[in-house]
Amino acid sequence: MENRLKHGERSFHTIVNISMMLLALIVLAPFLLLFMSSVSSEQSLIAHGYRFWPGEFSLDAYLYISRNTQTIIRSYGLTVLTTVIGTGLGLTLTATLAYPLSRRDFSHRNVILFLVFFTMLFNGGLVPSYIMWTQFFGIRNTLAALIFPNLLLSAFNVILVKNYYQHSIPEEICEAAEIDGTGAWKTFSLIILPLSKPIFATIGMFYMLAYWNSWVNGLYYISDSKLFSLQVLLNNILQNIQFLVSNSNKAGASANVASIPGVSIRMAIAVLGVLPVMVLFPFFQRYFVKGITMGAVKG
Amino acid sequence: MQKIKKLLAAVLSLMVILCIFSGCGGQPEAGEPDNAGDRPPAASDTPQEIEHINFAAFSYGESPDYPLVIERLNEISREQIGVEASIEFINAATYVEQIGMRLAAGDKDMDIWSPGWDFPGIISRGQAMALDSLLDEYGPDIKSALGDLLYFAPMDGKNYFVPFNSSKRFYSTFICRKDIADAHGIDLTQVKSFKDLAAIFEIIKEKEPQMIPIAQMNGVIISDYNVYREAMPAYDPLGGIPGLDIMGVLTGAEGTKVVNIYETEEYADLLKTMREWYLAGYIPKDAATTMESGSLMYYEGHVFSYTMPETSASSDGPIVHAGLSRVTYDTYVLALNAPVINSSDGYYSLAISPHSQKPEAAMKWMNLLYKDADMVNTLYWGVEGTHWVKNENGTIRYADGIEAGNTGWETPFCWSVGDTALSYAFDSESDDPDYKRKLVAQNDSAPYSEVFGFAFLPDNVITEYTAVTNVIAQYVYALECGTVDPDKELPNFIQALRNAGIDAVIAEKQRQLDEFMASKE
Amino acid sequence: MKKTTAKSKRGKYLYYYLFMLPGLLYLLINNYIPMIGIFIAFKKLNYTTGIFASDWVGFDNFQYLFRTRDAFIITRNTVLYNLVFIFLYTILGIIIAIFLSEMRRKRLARLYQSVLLLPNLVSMVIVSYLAFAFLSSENGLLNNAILPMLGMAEISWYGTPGPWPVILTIVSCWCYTGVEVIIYMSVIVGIDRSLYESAEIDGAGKWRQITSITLPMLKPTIIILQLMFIGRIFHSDFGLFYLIPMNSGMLYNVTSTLDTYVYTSLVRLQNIPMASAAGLYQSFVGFVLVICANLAVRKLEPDSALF
Repeated sequence: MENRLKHGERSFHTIVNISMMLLALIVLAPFLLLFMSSVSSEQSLIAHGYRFWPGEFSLDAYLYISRNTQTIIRSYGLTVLTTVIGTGLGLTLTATLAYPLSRRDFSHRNVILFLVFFTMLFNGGLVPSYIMWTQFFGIRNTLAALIFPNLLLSAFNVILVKNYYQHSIPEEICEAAEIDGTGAWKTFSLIILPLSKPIFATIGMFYMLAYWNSWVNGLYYISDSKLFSLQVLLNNILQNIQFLVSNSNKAGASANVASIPGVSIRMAIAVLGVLPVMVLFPFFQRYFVKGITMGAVKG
Repeated sequence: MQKIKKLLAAVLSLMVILCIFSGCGGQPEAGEPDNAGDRPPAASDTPQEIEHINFAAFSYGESPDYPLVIERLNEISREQIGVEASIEFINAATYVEQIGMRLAAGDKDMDIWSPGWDFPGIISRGQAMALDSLLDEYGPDIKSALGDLLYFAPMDGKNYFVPFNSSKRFYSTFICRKDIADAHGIDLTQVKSFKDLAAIFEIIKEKEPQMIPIAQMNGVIISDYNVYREAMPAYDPLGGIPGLDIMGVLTGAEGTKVVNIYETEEYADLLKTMREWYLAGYIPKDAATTMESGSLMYYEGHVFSYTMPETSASSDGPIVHAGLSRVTYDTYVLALNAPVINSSDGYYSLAISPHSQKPEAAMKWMNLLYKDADMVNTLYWGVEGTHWVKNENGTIRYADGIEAGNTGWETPFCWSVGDTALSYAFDSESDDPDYKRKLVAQNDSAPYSEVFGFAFLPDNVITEYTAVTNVIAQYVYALECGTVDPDKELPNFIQALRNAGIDAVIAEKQRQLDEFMASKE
Repeated sequence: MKKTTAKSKRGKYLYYYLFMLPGLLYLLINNYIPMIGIFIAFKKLNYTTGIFASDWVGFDNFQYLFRTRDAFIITRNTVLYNLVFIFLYTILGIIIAIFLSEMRRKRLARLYQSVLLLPNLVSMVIVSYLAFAFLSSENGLLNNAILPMLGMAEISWYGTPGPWPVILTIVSCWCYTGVEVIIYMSVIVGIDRSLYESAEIDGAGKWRQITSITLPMLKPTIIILQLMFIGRIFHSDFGLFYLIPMNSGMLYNVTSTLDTYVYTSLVRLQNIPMASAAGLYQSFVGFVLVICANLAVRKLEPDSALF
């Protein structure tokens, strides 16, 4: 009996390990292709196509980009800054908003939960939101434009957290605390928060990803190139290629077309957008995962 | 339930309060005082106050030398008209979106902006101010420089735009590598029709197997339908852009009757030729779907030729363009048709925002771009001595240590704003200091399309127009790059257009055109 | 006694509202006040007079969404893709989350988790370049290396609609499964370990543990995710459907969704009211569906209902 179980478990683990390894390879393969095409020479890309092992290595693409090192470093800095601030604020707002919504003794909770959820379904569209943020708060061409509009609080995350509070933290603990005379704030900070680390880690990651990838706010609110975050910069470079090219029939523009980056350079730009994160992400993630496992031990 | 009501009431009252505040919230900071404060006092002794305007321009690179250049520009404009400008660069990729938002929000901090297309739409949405009285009073040089061209898109007798002044005599041209054409003894003077190009491609295919004979430009191979000179003597797209919204054109064969180009014999013939080229391997297989552009691939060196509308061509035969800074090879430019100034709306222009507080100052500043050579050349090329220097023969060159693509003043102004006739020629373009002026002067001798000034406004048939745009995007690239068999797909295309309502669009276009012609008489 | 409870209740509620204040204030500013702007969908916008003074046009701005033959195709595509996606996200998400939580080498599990999230860090523009590297007719990896190896003929990928439902599904899973995994992981690690230990003592194998402990614990999360998803069933990921097929017209029948249709129709017209109308239509359908679904869940699983 014991043996059979052990045997079953072993084969289960073998399946798990093999399938995860395969999965990881599938996920990583396109990244490898991206990297390899960025270090291919333009000529070999055209002659041999995209390959996992380029016909001819060349660092021209990176040399081209290195002319703009300062810009890239600045936009990295901006992205990191907005991501940190945005994630911090977003987590705080989400954690506090979700708490009363999870309490059964709060009879307004359904109404408010509905109001929160409603924001996921309806929005007034871009123009009213733009008027709101620029005319009342004047955030055009400020750092705040990369942080506040649309990203700061996601109803989806609020509902996830509320759900976690409700299902994974036994209500008796809170009730016991309150009978002891502990105030609402203390119950929250001393009992709820430490028990909710896994979900905070998770939605923290979501906010992080949302801020890291966001470029729509840059599209509408930022024209000052000193405030281009990494994604805005990448997006603009790639879009400008299209724009310049389709306007190259106008006198004088052709000179600029000659200096437009080729395919390998665009791939290199993409690599620069991803590579540092690829290297650093596991370290950041360890912090998050630690939160998850600590929560598990205590829960 | 009551709680919901209470909440709603609270939300509503907050909204009202905020709406009331909106009145003061939208005020711009007047005149950007800190900007003006940094500058030395005006050199001129004009007593009037210096007015400050804001120009939202599009750009595609960084211009670190902006402070230098704007200082010089303002020096000139302060002295001449008592106006200072600040130029806000908005990335070209996001320009349309940002300007649309700012206009919708009633942003008073923007005076001039720079539309490039959809002029009737801009007028109908109220995104620009009518300029007639301003032009009369403050824009005499604009009027004399542009002449008839100024009225390229009027609406109800009013004018809303100041177009970029350059040669508008567009040819549909064939552009190819001179070095390779010469090496294989290709004689472009023998090309009488675009169909003769096939023979050239055959040579390229054989002698230069790694090279693409002809690449797509903006998703199509032949950039213009008026390559059919005999059948379409006075082709006019009536404001449509190839591959986007050409629906109803004039062929010239039937007066001012609007025709569905896709149902003409010529179109079927064009598709047949493209299919032949594609099957022969002259056209890249990805042409219909790639986002790459022929001109870019050409500069990278693996494409022999492409076609595009070009102003510097000649009806007398191929001309040679010198190699550009990073591209060493020379280029042949061959006109495929006779030039005409048509009602196409690809005219870069300047417009004044309807929310501008200083339209007079804005018009004065714009007028200077059609009057003062210093102003124009500073705007185009940067500061004399710093960015460029004059040659003895009157042409100019980049200053030492400055090269194209890295000048510190990367702007699109030289192909979108002002009067190019006032700008100097680079010595790489021509030895003739009058080169630019002569190019512009060609406009005077070029034939104008009969319907020049007509602009189509699709508002009344917007549902059909929208559906037809989608059908065009669905079929046109694949058909015109030869990727699909026209015998099979062209009838489907025509049927899909009918289903989408192209006839209604054409009828509306005809109605507007008839009205336009009547008003002209 | 009664008085004191009423008093303490009021105090508690005050506390609760203080907790929610920052979040609700943000929603008010960012979401609710701009919602007034929904009326733009019923107007013909005139920028000179401003959005409030523009003319009313009733439902004119909605017509283009229904009057054409494309209406059926784009609605079908939007809904079907969404159904397939949510099904696969959920299944894959749960399986991978269980696998990861079962891995003995935690360090490796962590690494895999990072790997799965990586695609999320890449913008769709870049993903479209990656897809092009695989699918390009001239230079693509598939046509150049893989298909010849299998002895198959070249395919003009961007001109052949057949494979695209599969391609888009693969790309979409590649991009977004990682997030689902994280959500399910966070629930699984929160499950009390002693439950598994006692199950093991009772002689339950892995499969039994998964079906009788893990899945029931995941149920509320699964239901909530589906409910939230239903609200967005008329929305689609614009980048995925527009950029990945390179907006190739030949593929429109299988790649057009509401969002791409609105974009390709309005890109030149800058018609904000028509875009708003489309948004309103999408939201309205989602709203109705979600209310119905939530009612059903409330009947069956009162605890898991959204509200």
